[in-house]
Amino acid sequence: MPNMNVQAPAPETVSTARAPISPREINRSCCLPVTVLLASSVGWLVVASVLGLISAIKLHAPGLLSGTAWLTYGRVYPAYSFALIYGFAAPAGLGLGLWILARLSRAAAFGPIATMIAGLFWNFGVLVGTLGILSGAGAGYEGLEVPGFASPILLASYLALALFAILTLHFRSERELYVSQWYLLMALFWFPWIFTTAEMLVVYFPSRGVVQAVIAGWFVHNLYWIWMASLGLAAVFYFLPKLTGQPLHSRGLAMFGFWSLACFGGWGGVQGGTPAPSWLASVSGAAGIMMLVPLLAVAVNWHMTMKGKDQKLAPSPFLPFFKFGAFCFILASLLQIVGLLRAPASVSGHSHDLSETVQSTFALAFGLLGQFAEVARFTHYGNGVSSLFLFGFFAMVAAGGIYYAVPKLTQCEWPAPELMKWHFRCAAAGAALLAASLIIGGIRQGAAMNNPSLAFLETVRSTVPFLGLGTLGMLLLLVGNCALGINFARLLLNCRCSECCPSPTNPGGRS
Amino acid sequence: MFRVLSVPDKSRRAIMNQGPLVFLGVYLAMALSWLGMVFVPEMQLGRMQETTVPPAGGRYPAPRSGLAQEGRDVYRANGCYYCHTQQVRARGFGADFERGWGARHSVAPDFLYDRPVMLGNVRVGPDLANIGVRQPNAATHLLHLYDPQMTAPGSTMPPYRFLFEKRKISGSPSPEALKLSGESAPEPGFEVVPKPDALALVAYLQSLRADLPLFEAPLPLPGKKPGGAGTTNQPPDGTPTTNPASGTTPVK
Repeated sequence: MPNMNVQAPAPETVSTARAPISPREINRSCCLPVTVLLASSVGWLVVASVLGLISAIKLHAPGLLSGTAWLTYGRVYPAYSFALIYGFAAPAGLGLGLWILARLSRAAAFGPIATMIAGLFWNFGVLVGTLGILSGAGAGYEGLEVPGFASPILLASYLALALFAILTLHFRSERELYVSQWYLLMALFWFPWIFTTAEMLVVYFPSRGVVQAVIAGWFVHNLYWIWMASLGLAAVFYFLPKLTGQPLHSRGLAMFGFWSLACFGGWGGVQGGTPAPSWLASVSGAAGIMMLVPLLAVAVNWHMTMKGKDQKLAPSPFLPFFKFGAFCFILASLLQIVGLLRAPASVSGHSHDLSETVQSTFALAFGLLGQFAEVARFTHYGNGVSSLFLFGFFAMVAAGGIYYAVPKLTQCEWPAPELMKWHFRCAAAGAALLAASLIIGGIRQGAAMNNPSLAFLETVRSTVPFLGLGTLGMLLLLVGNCALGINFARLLLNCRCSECCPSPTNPGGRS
Repeated sequence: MFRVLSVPDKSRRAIMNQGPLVFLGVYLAMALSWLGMVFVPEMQLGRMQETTVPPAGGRYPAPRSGLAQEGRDVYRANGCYYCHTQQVRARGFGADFERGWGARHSVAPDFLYDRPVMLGNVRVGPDLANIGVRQPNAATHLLHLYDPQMTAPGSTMPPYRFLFEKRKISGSPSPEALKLSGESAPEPGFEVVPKPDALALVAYLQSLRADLPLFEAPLPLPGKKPGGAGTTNQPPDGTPTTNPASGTTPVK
């Protein structure tokens, strides 16, 4: 780029920078697309909670609603998981992400109407997918249930949403990129790639044999630990400093955490013992343990940022959502890492080789946990960790973001602030109960399963009380999420939309 | 770009302000994980062919029968894999052998022709990698699907009544009708017969048998050589039982 030095300022700045606009105008430009995305996500959250409650009850009362094929456990559970991730998490994360992106960029949302249409189209894809799964068209992989006929709809609308988000970022007037924007860039880009790969090589033109399972596992791992994690982390990195009134502790540390997540987060999804080449499980396990690095960087950054809070700022009612979410992210990541641990195959105590010494030190350090994968594998433990991730971390952070952003977008206050408190209490208790019962029940189940003197049906029975507690947790989550749904519905019904959404006819609005 | 990079004290900060550079870095990280976890496995296993079974020289695996392939679709559509795995872990990792879930651990060739490969993640129910060996009887499978409490009291498996049809007996009773007694029996003059989906599903379950010794997964029999395809259905206690069904043709 030789002409770059000739022209001053750089051409990129000339072509893309816009005059900064007021936050009010940014909110107005985002109002329509972001509110539609967030409202639809809350609707799907309630639907997913109902489906989740049904499937949770079915685990210990299998006779319930077993008469129809559409409501059998093997269809309701994937429909719940699909509705939660694609119906709730994706639009909530993208909607909040779009708003955060616009606010940090000090730029109006690019193409708000087109973004809204893409969002509606995405919802159509989720509806088609959910009905498809219930009708028996699920693709056959846990976490990649989406039927082949729904995935092009989802991919096309995601590409449109991501394109408009990136154009918003491109035309930013604030040149400095904040941490949240990195994470959003990663999330926006990562999903289409993994989704296309998985759909092509697993659903449309399946690879041979277990390669399908390896790719599906890789997809699900990336979906959770890169895509959803990035969307959630972007929100936490945006709101924690904002609500505590403290600047982010360290941008360098955040950068380190970001790149280490990008490096290690994508290598995973094959667990030990899978009938695939064992190097895949080894690489997955090693990368999984390396996830401690970004986790530590993020945790320290958050902790240091929150340390000096509340000096001059009244405690924000939204802060508990982010604190709880951040805590659950760290806990879920740790439990995920612990679930991968296996003792080194053979550690000799007699060798004086340095590498052996290092290995045996590790074996000692992980001595207690070394056999954990053997217990945790094939039990409810994994579902417990993903529940903690989805409800404890992602849904909490998204709910906090929704509570904060929607009044600013629509210029309408929440009709029942009390409901928000009840939502937090119910959702926090529900997420904790659901995750704890599945994790503890899973460990008990695994210990029983590895004891061949116990009949298999005994291992089934030993989990039933825990699954009952899990149902209670799911019920609490449903109550909490309904509180959010009712609050949101009342806000939208009472809101005068002509005031808050002038963008179609009057893009400038009043300043 | 060079202008930005030439400012040393603010360079790190400035690089992370360049959207395209962040994008490029993310792209590289993404592409590496894609290469490692998608491309290389595809290169390694994507052209796998059926293998030769060591002692007898038979080919493994044989494709499933048409009915069993239809049954695999029923298995997929009703999400059986959310509660059942189809993978036996190597000896010493878990108690899969001790529970008699397989004579050897599962390996990649076992799933060569499967679309999708439903390995499963949770064992709410037992592993099914060798259910065709453990339970070859179709009638028992049908009863279990109709009412799991009859065959496994206390099980949390839901009944799959929608795979069956209760109909009036016209003429002589159907030979396929379930032999039900007690509460689950239909009223006199009626019979419960499996729908085609149930028969296909059972054919699939019967086809689930990964018990032939392979080079990478020999049958672990202390002091005995694997005695050819005819004696491969070893229960974990080591007593050889001959299953004529798997005698000559390697059925998977």
